Amino acid sequence: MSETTNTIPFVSGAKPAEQGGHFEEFCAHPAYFLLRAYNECGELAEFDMGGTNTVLMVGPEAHEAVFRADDIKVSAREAYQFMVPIFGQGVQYGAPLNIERQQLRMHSRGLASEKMNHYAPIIARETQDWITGWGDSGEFDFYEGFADLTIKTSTHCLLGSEFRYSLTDEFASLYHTLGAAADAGGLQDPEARKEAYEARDAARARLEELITERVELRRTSADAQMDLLQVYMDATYADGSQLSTSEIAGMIVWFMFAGHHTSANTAAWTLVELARHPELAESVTNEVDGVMESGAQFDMKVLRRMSRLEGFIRENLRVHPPLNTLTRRVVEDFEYHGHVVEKGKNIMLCPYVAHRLESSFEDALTFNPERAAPENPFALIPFGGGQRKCVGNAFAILQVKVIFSVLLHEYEFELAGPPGEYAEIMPSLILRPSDPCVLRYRRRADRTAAMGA
Amino acid sequence: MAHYKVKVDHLLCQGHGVCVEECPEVFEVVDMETGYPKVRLKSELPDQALRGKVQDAVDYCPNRTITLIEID
Repeated sequence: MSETTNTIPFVSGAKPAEQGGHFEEFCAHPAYFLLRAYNECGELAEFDMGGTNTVLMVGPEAHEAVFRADDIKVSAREAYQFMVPIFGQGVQYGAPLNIERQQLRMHSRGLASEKMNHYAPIIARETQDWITGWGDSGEFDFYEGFADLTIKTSTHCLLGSEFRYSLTDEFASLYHTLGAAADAGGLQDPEARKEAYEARDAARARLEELITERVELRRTSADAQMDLLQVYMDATYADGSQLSTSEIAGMIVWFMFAGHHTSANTAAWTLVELARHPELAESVTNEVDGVMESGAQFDMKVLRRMSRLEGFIRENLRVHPPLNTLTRRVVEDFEYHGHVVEKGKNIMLCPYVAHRLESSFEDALTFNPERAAPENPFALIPFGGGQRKCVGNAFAILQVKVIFSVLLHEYEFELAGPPGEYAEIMPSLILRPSDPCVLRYRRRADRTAAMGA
Repeated sequence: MAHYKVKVDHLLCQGHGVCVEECPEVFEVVDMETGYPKVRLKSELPDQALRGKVQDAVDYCPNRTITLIEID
C-alpha cells in the first residue's frame, strides 16, 4: 500500500446518517443519482447508502481494476446476499464458492453457441405466434408485450415445450411474486418488507414443487431433450455428483432473474429507438429482409453476421443499459491509484454513467448504432465484465435479434405518444421505459402485397 | 503477408464456443476444474490460410477475449 492515500470525494446532499444518507435519492433513480455523483466528484465518488458507504468507480481503467480484482477480496457474493432467499440456498451466492463456480460452468454449457442453435428457432416460433393475432395495424403497450413474450421464450428454452404450454401462467405469477421482493427497499429495513418476503418464500417453495414434478417426469421418460433443464439434469460436479432437484430449481430461477426483465427492457428500448430513427430502422430492416428471404436457418453463424441489427441492439445497451448498480463488497482494503477503499465499504460500477463518457464514446449522447466498439473493452459494460460478466450475454443478444428479425420483416412501428413519454425510469434496480410504452404497428405495404399474392 | 499469432485473455473467457464454431482448426473449449470452460489454442501460430477464420473468431467473440497480433 502506498504511504500516502488520497481522500475520495464525498457526494453532496446526504441526509443525516439516521435518515439514510443518500439512500432516498439513490432509490428515486439510481442511474441519475450516480450520474450526478460522477459529475460532481469524478472517477471516484463516495456516498452513504443507508449506513453502507459506497464508492462509485467510473471509467474503463477503474472498471478493469475491479473486474480483475480477486473475487474473494472484492466480493460480489458478499454484496448480493439479499438474493439468496430468491434463488434458494445451495445455488449461486447461497452455495460455497467452489460449488458456485461449478454451477457457472453448467450455465455456460447450456448457453454455448451450439446449444443456442436450438434455442433460436424456438424464439422465432414464439414471436411468430405472438404476431399472429395482430392484424394489419394497431397499438399497445410494448413494455408489457415484451415482458410477456420473453417469459414465454425463456420458459420454452429452459423447460421445454410441454412446460411452456401447460404451466406458463402459474409460473409467470410465481416468478412475478419473487421479483416483487427484490427491490432496494428491503436492503435498509428487511422488516418493512415482511409481507413481500413471506409471499416470496411461498412462491419460491411452489416453484420448486412445479420444477420437481417436471424433473421427475423427465427422469422417467426416455426422450432426450435439448432444453436447459436437460443440461442441468445431466450436469455433474467435479466429484461426479449431480445437481439436486432443489438446486435445479435454483438454477432455473437464477437464469430467469438474470435474463427476463433485462431482455424485455432491451427489446422495448430497441423498438422505441427504431421508431425514433426511421432512417436507421430502414437499414436494419434491409438486413433482416436479406436473411429472412434467403431461406437460411436461424443459426448462430447467420445471426452473428447481422451486423446492423447487432449494432443497433448494442447501441441500445450502451444508451439504456438495464443494470446500473454492479456492486462488490470490499473484504480486504482495495487500493486504486493512491486511493484506498476500506474493508466493509461497497464498490459500485454504473454502466449508465460509464457509457456517457466522452473519453470513451465520441458524441456520447447521440444515438449512433454505427459507432465502432470502444478501443478498451472495459468501457462498454452492459453485462459487467471479467469473471463475473453475465454468462447470458450472447443469449440475450440472440434473443433480441431473433425477435426483431421476425417483427421487422412483417411490420413497421411508430411512437403513439409524444416523444417525452418514453422516459428512463427505475422503479426497481432495472432501467426501463416509462408507462405506458405504447407504439403503433402497421403491416409493411410490401408484406401485405406478398400475402395477397 | 506478414505472419500472425493469437492471444487469449483467459480472465475474460466464459467458454461460449463461438471461436470453435468459426475456426475449429485453431480453437477448442475445455472444462476447467472450477469456473467457466475456457478456450484453448491448438496453435498459437496458425496457418496463413486460416487468417480469415481466425479473424472471424476474434470479431464475433462475445467477450472480446481473443487478439490477433501481427508479427514481422
